[in-house]
Amino acid sequence: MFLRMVKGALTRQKGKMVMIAFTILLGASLATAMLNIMFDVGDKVNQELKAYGANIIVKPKDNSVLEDLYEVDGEDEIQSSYLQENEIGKIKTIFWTYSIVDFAPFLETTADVNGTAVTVTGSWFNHHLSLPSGEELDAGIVGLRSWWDIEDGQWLDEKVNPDGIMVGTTLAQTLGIRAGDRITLTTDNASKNLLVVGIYNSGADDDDQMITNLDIVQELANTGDLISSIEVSALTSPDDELAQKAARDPMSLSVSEYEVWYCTAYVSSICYQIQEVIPDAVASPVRQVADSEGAIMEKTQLLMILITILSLLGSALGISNLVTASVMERSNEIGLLKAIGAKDGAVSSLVLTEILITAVIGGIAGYFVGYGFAQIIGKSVFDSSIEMKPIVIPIVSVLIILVTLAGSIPAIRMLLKMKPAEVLHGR
Amino acid sequence: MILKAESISRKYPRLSANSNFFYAVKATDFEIKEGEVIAIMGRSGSGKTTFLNMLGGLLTPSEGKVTLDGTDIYSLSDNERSKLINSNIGIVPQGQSGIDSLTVTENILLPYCLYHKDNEADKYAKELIKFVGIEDIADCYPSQMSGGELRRMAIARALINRPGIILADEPTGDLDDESTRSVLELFRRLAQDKVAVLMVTHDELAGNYADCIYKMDAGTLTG
Ligand SMILES: Nc1ncnc2c1ncn2[C@@H]1O[C@H](COP(=O)(O)OP(=O)(O)OP(=O)(O)O)[C@@H](O)[C@H]1O
Ligand SMILES: [Mg+2]
Repeated sequence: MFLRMVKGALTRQKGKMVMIAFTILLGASLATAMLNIMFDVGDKVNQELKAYGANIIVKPKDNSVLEDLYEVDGEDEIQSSYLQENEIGKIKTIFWTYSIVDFAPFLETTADVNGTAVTVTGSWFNHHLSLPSGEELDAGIVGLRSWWDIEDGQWLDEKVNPDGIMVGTTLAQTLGIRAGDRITLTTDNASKNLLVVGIYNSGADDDDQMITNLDIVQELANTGDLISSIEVSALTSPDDELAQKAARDPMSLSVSEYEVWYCTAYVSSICYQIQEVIPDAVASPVRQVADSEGAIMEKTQLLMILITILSLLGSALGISNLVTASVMERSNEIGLLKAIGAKDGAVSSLVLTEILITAVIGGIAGYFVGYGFAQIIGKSVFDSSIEMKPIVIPIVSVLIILVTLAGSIPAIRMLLKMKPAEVLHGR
Repeated sequence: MILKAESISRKYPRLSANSNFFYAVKATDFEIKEGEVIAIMGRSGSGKTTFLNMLGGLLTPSEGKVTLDGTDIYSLSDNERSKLINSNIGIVPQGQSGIDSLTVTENILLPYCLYHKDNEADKYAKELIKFVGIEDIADCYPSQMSGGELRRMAIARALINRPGIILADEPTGDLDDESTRSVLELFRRLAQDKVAVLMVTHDELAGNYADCIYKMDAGTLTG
């Protein structure tokens, strides 16, 4: 009978219940979207940071100074000095050699493809190295750019495709290139006919560039065995006070501090050791980038939490109006129930059950609408689809129930105050 | 069972020349015992419903107290009082009352179902429905019923828990003479079964069935 009364109230107050469900739907959908984006984008950035193993970049000394001075990306305009390709191997001779998991050289140039000037990067893909220590290793961007999404074709294999090239998805679209096509790159120095092995989507600026074997770019740019930078991926210990002190100036450390620092895989000590083996280079952590990205992430997450809270608050206010109106509309029935001896608790639970059922319906609908929101926001803001996290479901459920209950408080208080004689006064 | 009122009064705020409130019911002593049928008559607005509600535990008196077999019902907690009213006092409210989403049968069973999970009252409900003459519409909903039918439903609902006291506010208000008579006869019979019946009525017929008739006049009850 209880359920029939609930059902009756739901069907008779359809309009109001639909409004309540809709209010909850809005709150739930925003909360779902924001929480999913928050978790998913957080995960993605972390993944990328982890995958973006290159946490150290090695550049020629002069170049690095210039770049720092003018804060410009020097590669195109002021590429004045280079590193030697044969120095790369020295990286694997440092004290923390086993921390170094991957690395790759880079050299950029501009070439002409069918009348369009494009940036071509030369690098290693899966470059096989036999180190003096006896260690065998495949180094290159297959590992360093492991998050790249190969949309067409596959990763370039240096042994199979010495004349292969990979093209970024944006550029491939502009030029109408697909995997399997052959393209000709021309510079003042040389002309190369290359096979497009794969189209990649990096989600970053790289997408309007091409990348090929280092020696091809060296030939196109006529640089001989030179490279412009090396990216190194190293397993590092998290920075602590000592690391920060050392990062400001290694010379300020006492001898014992220096020993500890040198023998700990801090990113700063690894950089220091790389500079020891490649004297005319500056190795610097790219952690700052990650840090600032992290800071932006944190702010974005804060914003999303704020939006979630505000939308839920809004829902609670909306619900409180609607539920109050619904209770007032039924004051006669409520008065009657009280007059025949229904306890306040029973009457309240009747109303709450109705509202909670409505809330559940609105919440479920809201979850799916929120899924849509998340995808739209993900695509337009973060340029990636958002994976739905299961953890969001219990969180949103709890939030919705809390919001619904909170929103029902004024109505329940009014209900408790209702005197049967007053609402039943012969009317 | 004895329901007793000890100088209960009820005042409501209302601005007039010399005060901010007026008494809808002035200090009144009253008592009704099992087996009695008492009728209260009086003009509209004289305070009959207010008085009945105070006796029925629905409206706290401004002064005085109401006792049921010695228990001061307004000193109980809300929940205790609800339970007490539910099992001991059958109330027929003035006007039309019913839960729209329940059928006639369910409405009648409602006071029983509030405190019981079984369906032991089903048989009695059928009898009451038959008695008040609404068996044809037992599965209808209140919105489909006439005023008199609703009234009869309310009477059956007040009786479902076999209360010791019945407080009926114009129970025969919308009824024809024949139905009025059968309701009054029912009250009389209940009184023989040791039930106390207090009704507010405008019906002259009530005089034939009541043990005594009180008059309410501007908040004052006279015998
Ligand atoms: N909640 C209230 N607030 C203010 N005044 C009230 C309230 N309830 C009743 N009154 C007043 O108290 C007086 C008595 O009302 P009551 O309903 O008891 O009259 P009644 O005798 O039952 O009348 P009727 O025969 O029309 O049903 C009326 O003047 C009414 O206006
Ligand atoms: Mg009245």
